[in-house]
Amino acid sequence: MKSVQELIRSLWIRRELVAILVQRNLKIRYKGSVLGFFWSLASPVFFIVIYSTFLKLVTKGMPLPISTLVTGIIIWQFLSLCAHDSLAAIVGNVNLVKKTAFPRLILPLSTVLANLINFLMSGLVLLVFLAVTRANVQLSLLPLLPVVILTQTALCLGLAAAVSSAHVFFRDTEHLLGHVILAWLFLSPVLYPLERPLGLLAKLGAWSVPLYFLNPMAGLLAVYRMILVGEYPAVPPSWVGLSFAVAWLILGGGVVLFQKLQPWFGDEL
Amino acid sequence: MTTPVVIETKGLSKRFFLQQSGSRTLKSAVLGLLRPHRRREFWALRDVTFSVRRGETLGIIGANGSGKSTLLSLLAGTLTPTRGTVRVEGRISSLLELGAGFHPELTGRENVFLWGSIMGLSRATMRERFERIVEFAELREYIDQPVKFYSSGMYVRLGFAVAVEVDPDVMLVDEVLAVGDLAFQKKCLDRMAEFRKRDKTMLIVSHDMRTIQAISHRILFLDAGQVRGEGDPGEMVDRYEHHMLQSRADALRREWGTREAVIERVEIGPAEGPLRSTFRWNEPIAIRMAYRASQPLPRPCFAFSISDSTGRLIHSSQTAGASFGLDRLEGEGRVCLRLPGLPLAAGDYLLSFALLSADRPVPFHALDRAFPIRLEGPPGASFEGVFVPTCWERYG
Repeated sequence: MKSVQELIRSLWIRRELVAILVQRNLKIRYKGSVLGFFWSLASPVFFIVIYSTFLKLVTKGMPLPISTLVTGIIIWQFLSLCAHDSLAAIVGNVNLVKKTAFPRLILPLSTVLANLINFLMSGLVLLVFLAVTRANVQLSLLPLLPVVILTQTALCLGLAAAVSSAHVFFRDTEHLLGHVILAWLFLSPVLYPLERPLGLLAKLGAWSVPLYFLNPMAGLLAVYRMILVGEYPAVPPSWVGLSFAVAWLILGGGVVLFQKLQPWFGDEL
Repeated sequence: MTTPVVIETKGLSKRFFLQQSGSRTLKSAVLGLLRPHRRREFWALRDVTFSVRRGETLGIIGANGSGKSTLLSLLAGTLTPTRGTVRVEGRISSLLELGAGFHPELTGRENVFLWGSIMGLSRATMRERFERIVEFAELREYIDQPVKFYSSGMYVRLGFAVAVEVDPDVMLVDEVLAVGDLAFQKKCLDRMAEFRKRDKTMLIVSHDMRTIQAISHRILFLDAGQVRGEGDPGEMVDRYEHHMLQSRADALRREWGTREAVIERVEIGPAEGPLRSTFRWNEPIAIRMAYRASQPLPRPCFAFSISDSTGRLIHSSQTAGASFGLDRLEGEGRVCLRLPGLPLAAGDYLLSFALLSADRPVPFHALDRAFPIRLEGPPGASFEGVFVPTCWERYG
């Protein structure tokens, strides 16, 4: 517990560095593009247009209402971008890692925070879209939103810490990660309603249904959608709680792994 | 000095694994589990123990690859020791390669703040110091340009300015003075002197022996990752230079002969006192040689020669043992060669010795170009080659 406090303190001391690195991440992402930072607003607009157009064309009747679908995709984007960007968090900063001393965790942390800012911008577009389409936003539940976002950020940080440190030692991580994220996307209720996998699992046996919520994104998406589009999941709150707990456990596990590997970064790079 | 110890290492060791090529992949890791891995290991540092007190300046010298930079990286915390411990108190500013850690896409100004934040300084503090940094680095016009457009000199100036102005307790400096123009080097040295006066601690790595000897209180001499010596700067620099001389000479060294008699030991030094290999102008030199003959050998001769550092012969002579009462070699014995002073230009020379017989074509034992020495020139005068008294005058 003491070392956790120390870690947090060491990060707090370098908050200026975190701020600068977050800025740098955002700047580099949109470097040379005309719209620059507005892409973080424009991308979700494109998502909304593309998905709503093509899903209408391809499928008879949408699997999900468009507002539910877009909400899911924007939430998924946050996780997926964090994972991909974190590949370069250490490996792309060889100069800093080899030549300067600071808590290395700052690197994946700033990757995640940059993506969080991006996600919040997308969230604004999403809210506008939801308002325009008169989605059933649960205003009374909005105060819950920060808790959900914080939990997803924790999940992303745990993931980013694990991915960024693993990639230092195994360059296969990059290739593997794409497939893992894709599989994870299809295992999560992003493009289909939550009821579908739960129904499938129920055929296997009632005991297996809560296991679906071991996927932290299952519970997170359920709660996001509950708040933003008013779809209350037909499951006990404790199952959703399981997802939230797993998200925080992944943060713990990712950070522990990162801290274990971190002393040897300099040898490998 | 009895200030507190601020840097302390105990049994510090660092091992690297040399990899054949590229980085590790899942495949090689899996294969590595199946059969014990055969990565070649390399100890960059072995069992290094030393301490530095507050206010001290410690110089670190050694040949390339002797572990100097690894040591600084361990102190800076960018590498983790394989064994042993390292403790540094206070804020460290490290100049491991000047301007490293700068991001090429960011401007000079942004990099200054980046560096400050790495050091844990607040934006407000950095803003206060910013003017001084820019002024010291002489980069006012270029400070808002990305540093990728900087010349290496500008890079170095900004790097040094930032590292000094963040006001660290301990400064680690690696080969900084090798770059930059003379005027800026002077400025850096002045700033370092001022830094020392304020009771700050410095560790300096350099190949410039004159500078490091002048600014260090103590010097640590590393060789192949181990401490060869620690102490008085003058003494350590001498030791290092002798070591370098020796290793350069090793390339030209040749040893041959029938080995019926062997030269077991050669000691070079002044007429009196401890052995050394650097001699002042005209200083008498005494060379003591021990030999051993496996059987009685008549009519021995002793050969001596001097070559310059490239191996070109300058002097060669043979003396019959009979001339100083040594008619034959039998068992062990010792002889001494006295040189009243060598009339040669300042520089590095190689001495050769051979033990032979007037009756035999092949020497018993020859040590060609095996013993390096360094000669200093006459004070206040210089010449090339061999000293010849010259006297010029006007006439007519």
